[in-house]
Amino acid sequence: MNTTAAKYRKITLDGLIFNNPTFMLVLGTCPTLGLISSAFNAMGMGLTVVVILTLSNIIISALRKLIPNDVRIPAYIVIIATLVTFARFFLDKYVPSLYEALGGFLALIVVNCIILGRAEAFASKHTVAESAVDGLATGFGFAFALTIMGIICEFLGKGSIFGATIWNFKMSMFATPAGSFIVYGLCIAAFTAIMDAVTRHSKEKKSRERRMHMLTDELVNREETVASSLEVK
Amino acid sequence: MTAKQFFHGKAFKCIIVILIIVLVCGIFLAFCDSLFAVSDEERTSRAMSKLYDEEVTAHNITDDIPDEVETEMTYSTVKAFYSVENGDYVVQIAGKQGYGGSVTCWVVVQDDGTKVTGIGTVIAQSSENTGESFLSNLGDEDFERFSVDYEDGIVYDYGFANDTSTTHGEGYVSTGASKSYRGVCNAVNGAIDFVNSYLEYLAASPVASEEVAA
Repeated sequence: MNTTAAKYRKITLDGLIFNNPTFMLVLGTCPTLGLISSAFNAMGMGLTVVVILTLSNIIISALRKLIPNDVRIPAYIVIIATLVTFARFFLDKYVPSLYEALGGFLALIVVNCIILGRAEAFASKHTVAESAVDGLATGFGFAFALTIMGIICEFLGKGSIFGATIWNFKMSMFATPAGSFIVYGLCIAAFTAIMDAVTRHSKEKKSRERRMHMLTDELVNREETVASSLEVK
Repeated sequence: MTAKQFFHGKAFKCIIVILIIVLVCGIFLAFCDSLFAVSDEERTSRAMSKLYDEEVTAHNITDDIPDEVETEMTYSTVKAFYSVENGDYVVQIAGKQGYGGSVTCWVVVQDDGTKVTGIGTVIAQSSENTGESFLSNLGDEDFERFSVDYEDGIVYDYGFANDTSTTHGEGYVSTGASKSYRGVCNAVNGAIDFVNSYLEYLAASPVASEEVAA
């Protein structure tokens, strides 16, 4: 039970943080640069990718033993394209504002590296439950990254967040893909710096704990040695 | 390789698996297409609710467009034409020379009965503009300036990609460097041309104007 929980915890943390598809793996750059000028568009794209990624991982994992290795890529692409088309139908019917906001980038999800990459690297080799968790975690990692960058770009470029005007100061460059690229690079740098600091702190903590254990063991051994020598006397 | 060897081989299995996946996906999408179909009336009502923030009654008079009034123009094509109860006309029009071909817009045209007097709201209909990926870069203020430009009399000829500095005549709106924006401008200018032609026809033909009033 503990092993299973630890396994799912690792899958979740990998998707959200340690293998974050946007900041760590730098995948799915096209929709990232095209949509983070608006926080609403960025979050909408992120949530759409969560759904498609999770469903594609589930389906591909369920069919992994039936699909021959030689045709796995075309089969994955057909499945992913079907899910993206289903998402387009659904959004056009029930959330037309998001459908219009995403525009051509919605169809581009078919060739998003994250989805095909996770299908090939994870879903085709793990169980349905594990693949579902990986899809959710990776998708939310992507959505989180896009939303954060969308908030920054919209705040700097339009002076608003999710359409609500905060101030009148605007740097219009940040409302363009060029500005989005700069924000993307700075966010990757910040995320990497934070991860390095956390990793270093974790290593130092483990090293300190290991030294404490060694010292404790040494003290115990010495006490036993002294005790045994006193008994002999 | 014999036929038996082929049918027992890996290649045949691969072909069958791919065909089954494509078939199942195709059936699923055909089902979804009918389940999530958006009717023309729904699209029209969505556009009207975006154009006007309140419920308005609009009559589709596309079929009533007389032959003398051109719907296929040099830089635009009229797809649908509506008469709104408040006296406006709404034109669904495709402006050519966009990034992916043409840009379909809904244009509210205001008139005084004889000629166009202003531009109301302009929106781009994304469902028909799937090839116009740069349209998402145009914000509300980009579409709002059409009405402002028209009121201020700042006009440019249309159909020229980078000609943003020349004033040619009255009654048209400005182009921009972006191809998608040029498509939008061509749509708006086409709507102005079309409604002016329609109003001229009505003025010249009293019988037609009586029928429209009825």
